[in-house]
Amino acid sequence: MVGTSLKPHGAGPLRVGVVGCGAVAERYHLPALLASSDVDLVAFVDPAIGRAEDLATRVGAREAFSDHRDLVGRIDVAVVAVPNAFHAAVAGDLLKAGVHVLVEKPMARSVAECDQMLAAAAESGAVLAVGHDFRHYPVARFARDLFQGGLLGPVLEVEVQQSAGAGWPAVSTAILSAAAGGGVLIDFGVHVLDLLRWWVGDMTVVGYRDDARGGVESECAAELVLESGAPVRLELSRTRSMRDTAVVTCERGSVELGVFDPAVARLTLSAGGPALEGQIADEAFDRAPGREVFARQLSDVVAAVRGEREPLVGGRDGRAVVAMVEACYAQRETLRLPWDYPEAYVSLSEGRS
Amino acid sequence: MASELEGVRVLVVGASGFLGGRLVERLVLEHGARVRVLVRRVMGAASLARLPIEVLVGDVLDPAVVEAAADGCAVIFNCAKGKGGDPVLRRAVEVDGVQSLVRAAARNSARLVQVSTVAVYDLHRDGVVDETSPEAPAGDPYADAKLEGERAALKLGAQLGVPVVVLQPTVIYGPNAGVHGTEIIEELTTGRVVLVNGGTGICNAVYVDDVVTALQLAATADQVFGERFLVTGPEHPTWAEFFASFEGMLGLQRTVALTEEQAIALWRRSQRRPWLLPEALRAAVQDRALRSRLVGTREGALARTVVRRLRDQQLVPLPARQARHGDSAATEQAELELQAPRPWLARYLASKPMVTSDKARELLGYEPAFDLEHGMALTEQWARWVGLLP
Repeated sequence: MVGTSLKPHGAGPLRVGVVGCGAVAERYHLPALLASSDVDLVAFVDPAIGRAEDLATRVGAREAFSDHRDLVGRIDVAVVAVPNAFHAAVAGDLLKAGVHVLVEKPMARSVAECDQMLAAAAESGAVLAVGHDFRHYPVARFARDLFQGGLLGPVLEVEVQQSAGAGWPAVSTAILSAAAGGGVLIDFGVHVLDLLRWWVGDMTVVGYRDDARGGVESECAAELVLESGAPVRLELSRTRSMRDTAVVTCERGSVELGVFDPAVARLTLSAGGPALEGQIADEAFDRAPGREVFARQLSDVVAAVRGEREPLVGGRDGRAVVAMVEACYAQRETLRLPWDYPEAYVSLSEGRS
Repeated sequence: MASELEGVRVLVVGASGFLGGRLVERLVLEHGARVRVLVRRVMGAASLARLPIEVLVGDVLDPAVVEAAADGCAVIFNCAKGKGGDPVLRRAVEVDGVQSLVRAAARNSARLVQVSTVAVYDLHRDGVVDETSPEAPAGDPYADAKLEGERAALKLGAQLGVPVVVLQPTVIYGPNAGVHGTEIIEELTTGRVVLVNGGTGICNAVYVDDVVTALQLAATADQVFGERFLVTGPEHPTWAEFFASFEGMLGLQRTVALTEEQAIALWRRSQRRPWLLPEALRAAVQDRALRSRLVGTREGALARTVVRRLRDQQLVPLPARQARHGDSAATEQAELELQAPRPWLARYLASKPMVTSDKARELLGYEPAFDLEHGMALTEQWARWVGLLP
């Protein structure tokens, strides 16, 4: 719920602190925060205090801390971009203290952690928004309207292939550690699951395979069903080049949607014939896609904090996505890689015989 | 199957690469070793992180990083490879980096398994190549740096009492191979490839898992310190057979047999700077919008005539002429670009060096298990899975 017990903020800039100074904070949140007249960037927090001080110095922010609790009383809104393992604890502390939170995706590692965060937000009335920024891409918005309007009729089938994260300029190895709660699914698959849910409604996981063998998966394949029973297939990879689009087949036609690379919509009608392919008209986005998407996300959070509307992606949405991820991992089977096969393992002793 | 490496802490440098990556997989899954990897970029370990390994981020050129990475390790595998066109940086990785690793091994009483290459030998010759064969003449930056690197490792190892074993693999192929995998498939997909002397030269292919097996043997064998071992496959396929395997996967016939002299002549021609007019006309032929604009000018009518004439005479590459009179598929094929190997490479591809792993068999117990058919079958599964094949 929008800040019911907190006094809505007036028209002045909101004081913002950035908690977690990794790649997403530096490259995406920071430009949006600096460009916005709605916020005043006042502090950075990172246990690696040098990293926080570095960013603070670079942008002229007032303070740097190693502990997020030092922010209480100093800021109105926190951008929480710490490793997944700390989302629940950090966001929970801040929410309880009445600080509004935009937490990076995934909202947390488990439904239980999400519930703690939702309870903390409910307790203080602070806004809890989740950074599923893909919803702010023009193609995503277009697709949402397309499916909500029912233009193509009921959905018959969804199929997604997405490469994810190979070029991500991660600053720490947290993204690859078991503490992250998983690999490509929880790290990047959550973007896709959130979009699909926003486009075509809730889904239930019916099957899941990944390549993890004691670590976190870099390849996975999930099978889900819509409430109608229509199948949804999702394939993600950290290493392979893939199509990077979703194909949604409906009764009256099918549409292939690429959110950013390619940013494209391709519509084919069931009658057959030529397809309509193009980009979504959005000049501001075309000029600087990444910056524009994070600026839109920030505006949305600011509006929510000011009590104008609910955030586009609230804690319940974030929780629904984490619930799907949790269901996937609970049904996990091993994905066999093309070169994983028993006869590869010529043992040392055999080799010596 | 208890492995001597079970529970042993090992460091793999160059783990984000093709050979290093497969080594890590098998060290963990097959041997139960405790693997630490040193990578330059976090996401360079994205696929390896599916295994319970320790990921350290840093550069092999930083001695402090190397020291931290080697801490507590009993074996160090160095699969790092200096890349790119900068010979200074390449040499730094191949020589300075290796020396840092030897010193770090000394501090940890660890063994260093150094990956070198068959290219340190003179391969522009026919007949048996073993560890006593003549070295490659200086001039190839890759071979020069690798040779200097293995010498530095052996010399410093002897001084510091570090057990160093050098492996010299031949042409490594298999899942995730770059030069002898992805690059060949892409060349065959987008153009035509010269088979020098019809591909009768010997390629000494070795499947990646055979090399990994040799690395593991080198990490545990006794009485092999200071030794160099050639590591090749169980047979001596020709380049024609090697490329035919990839063509078979693609369902395409894209190789063109040329003599060594023809290949070198083609290369020389490809090195000439193009003339402005034929280049402009080529652009006009390929770009419809440009063409219609040009044709709309006064000179357009004249240019059209010239285009037709030049297209017949000069813009179609060498062996295309025979094919032009064939069917349309052959014509289409003929218009794909034919990449000529540079003369040095052409001579190498024409040669018939028969590399032997007899020393590795005898002292390491190495027995290559993957013939070309088996290795290529696995390579094909991988290539299909990553989307390199239709």
